[in-house]
Amino acid sequence: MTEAVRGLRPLVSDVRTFGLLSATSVVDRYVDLVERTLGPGSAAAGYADRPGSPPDAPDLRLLARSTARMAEAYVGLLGAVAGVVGEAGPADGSAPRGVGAAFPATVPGGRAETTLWLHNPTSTPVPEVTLAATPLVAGVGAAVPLRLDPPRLEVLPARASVPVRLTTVVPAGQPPGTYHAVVVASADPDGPVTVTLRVVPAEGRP
Amino acid sequence: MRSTTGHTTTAFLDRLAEYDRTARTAARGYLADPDLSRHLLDPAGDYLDRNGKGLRPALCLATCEAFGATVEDAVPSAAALELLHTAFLVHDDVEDGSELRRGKPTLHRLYGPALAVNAGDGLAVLALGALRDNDQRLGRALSARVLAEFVFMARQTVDGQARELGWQRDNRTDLTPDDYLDLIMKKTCWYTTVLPLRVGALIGSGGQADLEPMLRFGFFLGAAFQIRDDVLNLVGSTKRYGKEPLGDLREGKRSLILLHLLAAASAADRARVEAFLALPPERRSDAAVADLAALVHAYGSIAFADEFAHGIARSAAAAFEEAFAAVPDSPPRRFVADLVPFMVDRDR
Repeated sequence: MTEAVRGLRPLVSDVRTFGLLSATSVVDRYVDLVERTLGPGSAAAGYADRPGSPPDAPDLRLLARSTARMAEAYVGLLGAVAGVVGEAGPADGSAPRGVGAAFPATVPGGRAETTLWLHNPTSTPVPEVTLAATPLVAGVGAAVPLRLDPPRLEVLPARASVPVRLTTVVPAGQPPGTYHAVVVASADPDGPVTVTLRVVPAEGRP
Repeated sequence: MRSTTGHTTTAFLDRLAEYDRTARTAARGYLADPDLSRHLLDPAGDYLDRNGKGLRPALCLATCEAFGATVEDAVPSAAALELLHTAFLVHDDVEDGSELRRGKPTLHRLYGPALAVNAGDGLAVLALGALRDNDQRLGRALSARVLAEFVFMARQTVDGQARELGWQRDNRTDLTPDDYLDLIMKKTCWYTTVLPLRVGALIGSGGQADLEPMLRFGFFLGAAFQIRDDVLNLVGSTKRYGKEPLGDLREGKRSLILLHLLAAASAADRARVEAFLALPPERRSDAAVADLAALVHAYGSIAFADEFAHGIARSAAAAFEEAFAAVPDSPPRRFVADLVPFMVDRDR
């Protein structure tokens, strides 16, 4: 792992999650501004002044409400992230948080693709990023190969996101079930990405 | 009978057209003054007669209905919104030097920049008159709160527009997705989604609705809408989209797509992009714009923006449920819910 990315948020991320998190952080910044300008207590909005509050005193009622809202948004966000990536990981920060990707459900003999994004939010390029993947394995021990394209990047530029295509071909006769694999990037070995594939019976078969 | 095309039903489209007609007729009514010169009325009415989507007033009217009041209660506000939106479009086209609006030549190309700018001023002034009509219908206290929402929105919008123009003038190439989202919150979301929702809920509930969830829902919806607009500018057909293709690239707009390209490009390609952006707009040739478009495709910048927008759109769907949690099921409530996929997945 390079010094440039040590201690920063996981390098491997999902762009949808990135969009969701970015938008949430922006809207949170506006909540307070709008409350002050247009909410209860603002002269501009035509409300009567509340008695007993000196003009510069912090509004504890609004502060409490804002704090509760932040907590609620955080819980909602975790739920939303879980919905997007399939696995939120431990929330207490004691272990690296996993992110995940899922293939669409696929029948034996079928081919499936999905995309992971390598994301470098720092202002420093990360050289020589190599990706490694385990095969997709099911609880019964069956396995399906997983292919990465590209498996290696000469450089992951600063503030850039690069897609990596994940492909799998499910052999005919593969047992139905849920298969899991792990993808690890050399630049962020503590932030593995779980990948899930659901193999479903072909229509008309048990 | 209901027929389905993707996410959109004919019932939804019929309701959208009805809201649009209502708001547009009311907006047109504020132009019906024989004392005003045709040099103001003709250009001011031009865009109103073109085939716009009418999303903003529809969002306001439907939200008002969903919260329990009548469409008529929100008509002056919806008309003011349509008039202000049209004023912003006229000025925006002049500032950007745009050629097409809704498939036809822009106002300044038809009437010259002086009459076009004046028409934009006139539309904004007429919007004030529409808002004054709220006093009688809603009472002074609620009318004052609606006016405060409009004043705040207008400040945000012009500030956002100034920031974007400033970024282009200063040739900024160090911006991040957060900078972009902050910009579109100001420039687009306030008047496109946040204000229509908040004012609709305010009027519909008689001033009782909690408006904070509307801010969240409005921002997520507006942001996904704007990023889709940026993508359509690159990949949409001129006939359906109604603006000149690649116009944003030619203008050097700091869209999420361009920011991604600047971040993802190799040193050599980034230098090409920066050299393009350093040129005065009139010196950016068609070939140079096409080169830039090729880079955008090659570096996956459009796919990035699409994915980014879909993450926000998911939040919009969830935020809708929170914002409308206290509102019983009804056709207008379902209309607003259906607006989410309509605005995010549109092709025009």
